[in-house]
Amino acid sequence: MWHMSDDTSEGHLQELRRGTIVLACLIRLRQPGYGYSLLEALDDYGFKVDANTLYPLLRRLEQQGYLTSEWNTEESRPRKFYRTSTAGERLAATLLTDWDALSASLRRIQDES
Amino acid sequence: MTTGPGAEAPTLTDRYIHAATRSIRTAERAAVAAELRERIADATDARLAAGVSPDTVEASVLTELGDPERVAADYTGQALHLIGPRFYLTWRRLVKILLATVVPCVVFAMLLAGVIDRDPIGAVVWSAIAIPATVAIHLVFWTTFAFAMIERLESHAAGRGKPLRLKQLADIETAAQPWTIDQLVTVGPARTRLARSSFIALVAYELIFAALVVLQQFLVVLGGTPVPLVDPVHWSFLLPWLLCVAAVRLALTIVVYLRGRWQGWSASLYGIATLAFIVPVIWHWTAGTLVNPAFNAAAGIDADDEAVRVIGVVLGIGALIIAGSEMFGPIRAAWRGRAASVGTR
Repeated sequence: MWHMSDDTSEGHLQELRRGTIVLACLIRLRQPGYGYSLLEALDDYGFKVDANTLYPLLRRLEQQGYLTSEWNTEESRPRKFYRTSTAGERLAATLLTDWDALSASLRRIQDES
Repeated sequence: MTTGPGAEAPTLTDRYIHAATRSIRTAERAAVAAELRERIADATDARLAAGVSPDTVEASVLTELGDPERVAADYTGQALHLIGPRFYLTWRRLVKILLATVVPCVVFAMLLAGVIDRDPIGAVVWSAIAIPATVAIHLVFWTTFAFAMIERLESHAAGRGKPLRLKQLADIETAAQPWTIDQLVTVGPARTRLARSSFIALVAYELIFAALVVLQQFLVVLGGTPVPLVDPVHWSFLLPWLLCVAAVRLALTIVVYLRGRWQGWSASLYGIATLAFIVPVIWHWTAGTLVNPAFNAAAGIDADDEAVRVIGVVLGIGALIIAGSEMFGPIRAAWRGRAASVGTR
């Protein structure tokens, strides 16, 4: 029974975090970054992301036009650098506003319940 | 990744990349391969820095990455299911409708063909089982195949960040019968009630039937005199019997309408009456003794003619089907009434 509630609560935690990763990436990638450095940076800030989630997410955001990418061949091995595009900036702004609104709503519902 | 003479043997990483990307379209393959290489290399560096031994690091990185095909699917956004939530209900409804309409027709056709060809009963029964089974399997398979193709198309486009917006897809999605409130099935007592329109129809039907039993003597005029359709010898028993049965059914229908709904006893009696009508009629029909020989002679119908026999078989089976559906209606209404009352008492 303890094990089972662990799995379901883990699922809910994942749901809670899922949307914030997109926002975190868009903000962080105002400075160009590549996959692994982004993964470590997010971890430092406290965003728990799986590599299996992050890499495909970056790819999808690029396909949707929110990130631009560039292969950097200067170093010992080629690295793909991502950067937030203008569309990505706009999306980040929208998501941030929504995030603040949700945060305020949560605080209100806590205070009043 | 071509290897020429003198090149090293493919590493674990090479084999992994190959396994992951071989099912990806050529246009994207190089891009995904490059990204995967970068990702593996970064993970390897991180582990080496953490002190993992160089011998085992490649294997452990690749193991943690997991099933290459799953990793590739994450990259391309391919759906890892045959038919997804978008089309599943439509697919299921379509399969149910197809099976419910096509398979009984095939069974009927097999039985009819067997009877017409006078095949041995074993062969007829077997063909009425085996062939509809094959048809059912084909129906399910090709429908599923078509929907799986639609799903692949849809997820392929969605994986590229541009979901298909074709009007045709939206139509398929709503099953060509967009769900509306009207589709809700009635529940409760209304479902078991004998409606006024049904009552009037049943009464009219019974009266017309009784009238035909009597009037069939006068309907057909050949050579100046009316020729009875049914052999007049049947006036001694069968035809009066049919009139009695019609009277019983009429009385039952009126009683049921006054009481409001079909119940177990009324539905059963109605079924028995229907059987009492259809069994003797089919008996005489198959024996060839129902029709008046004088009628056949006057109309020039040769009872042994193959075409006449086939028509006879079709009419007989048609009558059986009609009788069956007449029995089925009240019984189903009574069954629903029982089920409903269990809940309300």
